[in-house]
Amino acid sequence: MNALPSQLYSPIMDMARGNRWTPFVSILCAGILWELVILYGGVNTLLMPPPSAVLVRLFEMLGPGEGAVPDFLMIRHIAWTMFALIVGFLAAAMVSSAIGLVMGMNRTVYAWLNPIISIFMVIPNIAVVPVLILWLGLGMHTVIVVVITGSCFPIIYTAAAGVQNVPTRMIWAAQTAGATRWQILTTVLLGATMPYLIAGHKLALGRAWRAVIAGEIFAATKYGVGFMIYDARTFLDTEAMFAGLIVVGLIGVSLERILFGFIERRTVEKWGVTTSKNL
Amino acid sequence: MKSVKISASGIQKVYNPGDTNEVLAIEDLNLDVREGEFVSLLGPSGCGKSTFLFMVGGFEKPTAGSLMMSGETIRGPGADRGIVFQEYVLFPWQRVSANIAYGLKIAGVPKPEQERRIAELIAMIGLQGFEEAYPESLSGGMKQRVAIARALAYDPDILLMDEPFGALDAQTRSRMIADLIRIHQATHKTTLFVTHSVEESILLSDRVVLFTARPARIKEIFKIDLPHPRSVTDSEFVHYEKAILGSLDEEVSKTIAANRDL
Repeated sequence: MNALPSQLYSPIMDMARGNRWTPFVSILCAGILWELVILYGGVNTLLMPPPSAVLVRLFEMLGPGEGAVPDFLMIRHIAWTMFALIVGFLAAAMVSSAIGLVMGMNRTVYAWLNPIISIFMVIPNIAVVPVLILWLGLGMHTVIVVVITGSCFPIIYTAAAGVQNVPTRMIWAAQTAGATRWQILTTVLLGATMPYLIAGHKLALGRAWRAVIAGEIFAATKYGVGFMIYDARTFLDTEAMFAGLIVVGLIGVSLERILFGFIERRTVEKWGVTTSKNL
Repeated sequence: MKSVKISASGIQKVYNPGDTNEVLAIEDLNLDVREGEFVSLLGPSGCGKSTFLFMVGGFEKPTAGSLMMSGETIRGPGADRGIVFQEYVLFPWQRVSANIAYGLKIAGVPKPEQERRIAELIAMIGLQGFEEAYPESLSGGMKQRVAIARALAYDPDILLMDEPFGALDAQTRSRMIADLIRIHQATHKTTLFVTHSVEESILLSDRVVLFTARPARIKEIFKIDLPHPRSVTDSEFVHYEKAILGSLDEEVSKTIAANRDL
């Protein structure tokens, strides 16, 4: 292909077509548009505050408090949310990977567990929260359980599918080298299933993030970003609510893109076996 | 005369026995392979030569007959055999050196001994400098060299190869054949080699076993009495080639005719 004529090429054009700067500029434009609509559109700023005010509020909440506002309030909310997320997600990851691997290896286990899991999987996670609150009461522990129920299924299914898709001959190669069943699990199945496990955990972490925020709205009692958003409603503090939503969005994207991008570059992309690109 | 390493007698293989889609894949197979011998299994597509190879590998069970290795009935796969597949089937998450060392790790061979063995095999397959590469970055021929090294690493008695060069281009294939001859002369492994290529089988083998179309029996066994290195332009080579091709063509025609009836 011929190179474009040089007069057509400029950094602006390049960005407009989509390069690594485009996402930032795109979000910036959306923010400016939002600000303009509120400035000139006659919107009630009590219900829909301008982004400038939301950002100011966000920075206030991130810093030392003044008057009735506690120090680093947003940091505390984020810390509680992250704690519930990490504990819940790790618990779900360990238990669900084990269940999924066993389901993948054993036809009978799969046949018996699959129908039950299929039913649980279509129940929106938020619908089990009232039941969990009834059983466990309010508090961080309930939020953690909500994270577990919200994130376990993608891991179970992808782990099972991963094992079922290991080429038979790869297992034969290991058996011919003298590997026992246990050695095949640890030396072949785990490695061969890794692309699926990573894809499943990526999906599950996204679900876990949504679950922790939703869970906090109903079950948290003191801190948590979800709790904060719901709590701010009581005071008609829409700026804090929007600040909370921005935090939820930014952390959510960072978890999926940055954390899993990092893991994928160091594993499946290097091995040339990535399947999770489109998830 | 060397001792018999693999002994197959009256081998029969029926798929889906008793079912409406019952298939008699192998009818009656009798074959003795001696220690250190290189034997090619040649035949039309779907004739059951790979099935027989996988029986020796311990992955398939004959429905009748006896299949022995070193005087004992084969009951399952084991480290006394090494296997190489057409699709390489390396472990993509492991580097070349770890792929080769797989069987040694399974056997609990100490690290320094593993290192020594890896270096030896890397030199044998001519992949110096690629020890730390992932399989993904290698060409087909290089991958297959690693697969051969992986199968030889733990020093099995028998090497089983299922159309190992089938996916390679012609140039790579002829280099791989030369290398495999050299490796066989160095290791004297009893080798069963499934192939579609008459030329490949004559270049490599002590004996070429020709299978009939399904249901498989052994049609003919050609003893290749030519010194290495063999040349495809040699008049005796051409003589063998004509004989084997002629016999194979009859079976291929039968297979085609049988498929037309379906």
